Amino acid sequence: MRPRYIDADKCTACGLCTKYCPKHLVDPYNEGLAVTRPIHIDYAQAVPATYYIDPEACLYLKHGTCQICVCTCQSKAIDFSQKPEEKEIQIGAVIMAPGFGRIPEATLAKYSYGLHPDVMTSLEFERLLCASGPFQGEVKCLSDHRHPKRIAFIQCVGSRDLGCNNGYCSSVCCMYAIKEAMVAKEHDPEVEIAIYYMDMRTQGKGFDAAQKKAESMGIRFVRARVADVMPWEKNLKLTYSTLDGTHSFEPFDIVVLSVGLDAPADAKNLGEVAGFALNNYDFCKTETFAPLLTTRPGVMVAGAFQGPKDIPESVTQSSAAAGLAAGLIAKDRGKALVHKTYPKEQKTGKDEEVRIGVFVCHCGINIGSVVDVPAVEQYTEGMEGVVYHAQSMYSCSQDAQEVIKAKIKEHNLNRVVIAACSPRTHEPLFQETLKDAGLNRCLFEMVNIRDHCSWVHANEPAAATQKSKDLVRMGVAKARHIQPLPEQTVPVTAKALVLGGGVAGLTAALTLAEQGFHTTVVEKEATLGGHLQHLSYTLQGDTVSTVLGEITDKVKKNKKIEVLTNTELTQVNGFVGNFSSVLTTTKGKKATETTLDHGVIIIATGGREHRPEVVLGNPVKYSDTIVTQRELEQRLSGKGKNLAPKSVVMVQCAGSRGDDLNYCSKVCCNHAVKNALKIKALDPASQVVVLYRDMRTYGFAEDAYREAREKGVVFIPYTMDNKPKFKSSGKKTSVTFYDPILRDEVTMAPEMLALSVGIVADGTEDLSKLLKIPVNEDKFFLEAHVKLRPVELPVSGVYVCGLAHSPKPVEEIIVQAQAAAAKASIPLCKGFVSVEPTISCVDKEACIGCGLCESLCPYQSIRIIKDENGKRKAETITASCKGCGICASHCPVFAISMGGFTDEQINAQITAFGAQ
Amino acid sequence: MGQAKDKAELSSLSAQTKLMPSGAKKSGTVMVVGGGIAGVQAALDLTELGYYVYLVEKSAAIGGAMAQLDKTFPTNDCSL
Amino acid sequence: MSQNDFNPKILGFLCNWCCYAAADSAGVSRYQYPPNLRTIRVMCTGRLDPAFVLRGFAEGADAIFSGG
Repeated sequence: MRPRYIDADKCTACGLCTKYCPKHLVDPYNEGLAVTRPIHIDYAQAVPATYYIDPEACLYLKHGTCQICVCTCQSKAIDFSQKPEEKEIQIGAVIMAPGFGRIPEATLAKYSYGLHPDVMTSLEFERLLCASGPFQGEVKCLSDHRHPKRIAFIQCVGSRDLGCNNGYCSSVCCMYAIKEAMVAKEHDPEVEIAIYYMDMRTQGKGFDAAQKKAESMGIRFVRARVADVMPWEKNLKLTYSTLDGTHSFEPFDIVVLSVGLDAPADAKNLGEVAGFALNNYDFCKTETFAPLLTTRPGVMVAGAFQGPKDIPESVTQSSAAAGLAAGLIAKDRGKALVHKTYPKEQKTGKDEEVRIGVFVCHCGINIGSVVDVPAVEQYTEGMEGVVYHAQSMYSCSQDAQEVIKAKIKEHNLNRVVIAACSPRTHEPLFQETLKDAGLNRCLFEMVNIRDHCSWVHANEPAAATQKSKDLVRMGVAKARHIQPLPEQTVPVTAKALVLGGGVAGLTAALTLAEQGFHTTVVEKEATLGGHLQHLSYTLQGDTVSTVLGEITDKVKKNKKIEVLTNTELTQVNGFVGNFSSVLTTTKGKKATETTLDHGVIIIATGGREHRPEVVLGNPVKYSDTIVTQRELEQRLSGKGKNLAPKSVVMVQCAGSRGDDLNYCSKVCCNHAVKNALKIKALDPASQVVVLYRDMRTYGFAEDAYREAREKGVVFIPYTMDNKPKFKSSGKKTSVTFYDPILRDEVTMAPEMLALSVGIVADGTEDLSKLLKIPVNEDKFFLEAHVKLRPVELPVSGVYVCGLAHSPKPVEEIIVQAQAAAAKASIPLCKGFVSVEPTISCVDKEACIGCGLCESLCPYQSIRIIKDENGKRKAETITASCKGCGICASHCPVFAISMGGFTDEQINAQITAFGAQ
Repeated sequence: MGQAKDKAELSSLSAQTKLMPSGAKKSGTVMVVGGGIAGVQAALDLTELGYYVYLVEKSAAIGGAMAQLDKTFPTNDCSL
Repeated sequence: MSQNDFNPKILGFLCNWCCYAAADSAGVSRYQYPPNLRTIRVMCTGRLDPAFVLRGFAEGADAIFSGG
């Protein structure tokens, strides 16, 4: 462990040291576009919020001089005596998540990167756009600080490029380029932006829609390869060639290089130290059906090191890897956890005298240099209920916590008001202190006189002091009405229900069972396996039937898994931890119902093949010669002779991306390449033509796309302005399309026409009604947070994976299923769901049972029940209430109160506001 | 709850760390290498699942590349 | 009275998850804004009962700010 040279317990992140540090340091957080000091913090929100000293730049650590910071630091946190430490730890499992590396600068040289300051990487441009960046979010040329009029993005820099040994597609650059272009356009609507690309690979959920939005904002997408970028007077000259072979050039003020994700620089070392294998690009080597297992047992991988990927996919992999690790060492669950104990909570009765203690914080000079802290403290003297008041230099510091605890005891305080920083960051800390002092943690109110006062009114100390006084008065007024709130937990039935017996559902069930949880899998068909039953081989060469057989065997043999086929979910009651579902099993004409109690639900209901009757304006009649890719695959893996057709035309996006469906189905390009390669393997003389809009063989699948071209498969792009036309007469079908290289129409009469049709959601709308879970406009389930909670749904205790979430290939489905299982096992292993006390509570006496609250609640967390007298009364569902208060603000008889935000408390604050 | 150990250097750490193959003595602890969004999420989930986590990050703060991003695609939400 | 002399008293209701967080981050970024606002934190602006707004005016607010 390398030292920070700063004591984390003492550092208050005030920033004074950085101000006084005399040496400059190029700021790596800002991609070298700004300067900082050797003693610094990367950014204001960094965790840990402790500054550190860069030993390579520090004057004392390098040359034994200076030490100015030591006397500057008011909390005496700087400790040059810290030494590097080595630690030996015993662990049960390892998750490798070292992320990605950078494309070497040599690869960027042909675009004049390093030669001209206005050629920058996308990460540098990101910092430029950011409000915490070098120009506070103003987009300027680095050369002369002028505002750019024209910006170009060059895609696939360091990706899809064997020249730098990165044959793969980095999978994220198209998205971030669109994002950065849109943000730049928001900064200055006049700026002209062009994105030079080979294929726009916006295959993710909702990504195509974002590209369309970018187009509507006037961002230009140019399909071209960029030859070079050269300085040209004040500007940059970008030379590019388009498909038809013409070369052109355009001037730009800024050129952004959309750099790909390289393998981590220390990947080889990591692989050697931890003993696992890498693939040919130095990313972690994994298998299609075990995407997160390294070659070493007990070592899992997650994130970009497994292959280039975006944030939601990384997050999904992490949860999945956590679930796998948990399954591996399920016996040791909880053994190493450190539990904290608290003293018994003293009773604070409703009628007890209110004894408030107010602590006003200086936060070093952060508050104290602007707000007159002693005056604010004195102001509370004589306020109703205030029996003690004090100042502290840093109220969040460890010693200040001890003082607060001592004063609570000494003055018998039963309410604490702290005027300092934000409750969003520090409330939990002070609530811990209250608990340590034997008080209910809710007997606490925080007043923000730093973020909302001293920092934002730095030049108006008198007004800031007045505002602080007002805010403290309002806080004290609220504190007088605060009541202790019980810590609420809801017990959990430690069983899971998995809907769907395809690869997603089976994987989820196995992951849950390995952790020791009883799981019921419900499949509406008679057999398990879903779509995998119709697939034969994968792009990576796996034999699907073998793998599927292994998975179903494992499921059937696992005693913790119960499988119900021919069964559907027909009714759900309850909430997270306590669901009760009715399952209907149909055998012939006989239907039987069973009721199952369970704590969580995983939706893995899948999707189905889309079979459009009109493709790109051409009516289609499916036959032996007009097939979908899936049907082609079945023929190619059959047992007959002459499996491979002599000639095939494949049409991508048949019914997708605005043709019929609005989205990209993500799998069709890989499917086409897979089948094309299979045909070429069966008969190298076969002619295969693929008509496409953008080949989306992202990630390592790019290798297969390249291989297909090397083997003679012809890929020809079409546009929606010039769609391919089909003509059928008898069994013969001819296809006419525009060839941009020949610059002419071409007509072919292939033996087969293979349509790359998409995937549609199946049954999600019914399930959506049953579980009250929203679906998006494409009828796929809408996750709780697109980036950070990708497998959780807005209703607590319900998770999603597989095609019901969005179309995706099998390796991503497996990861998602493992992640959903991991997330679902959290409440199961805890045995209870804990609830923040800031939830709604119904006064049953006052409630008139109108049901307004039930109809308004966005989380289905309040319901109307019949009380013992048969009267309609509202009741909060504690486990899923999010505390938003919509019910309370709409209740016509004020029967609902919100914990910590009662009418009484808010009204007291408003009245105190008026009392200024 | 698990505890984050920052500022550890992997090369020195894991060279001496004995990795347990499945079946060997396990202790209910997991090491997560890398403090970017993937590592942090894995560590959070593991603590929720009842394991003690060593989160190893070579730089001074966790967050990785995501902390450098201004906004995220396609919703343009703030990255921090 | 010139416009510059007008010093309104503004009462703000800030959603914990977005606007209150934004106000925090305005502080972190040291954005300077006029010191006329007094805030009440709520867990969601859905909590905002119209009665709070009326009471705010009755207590002398020149304007009510709802941020969510």
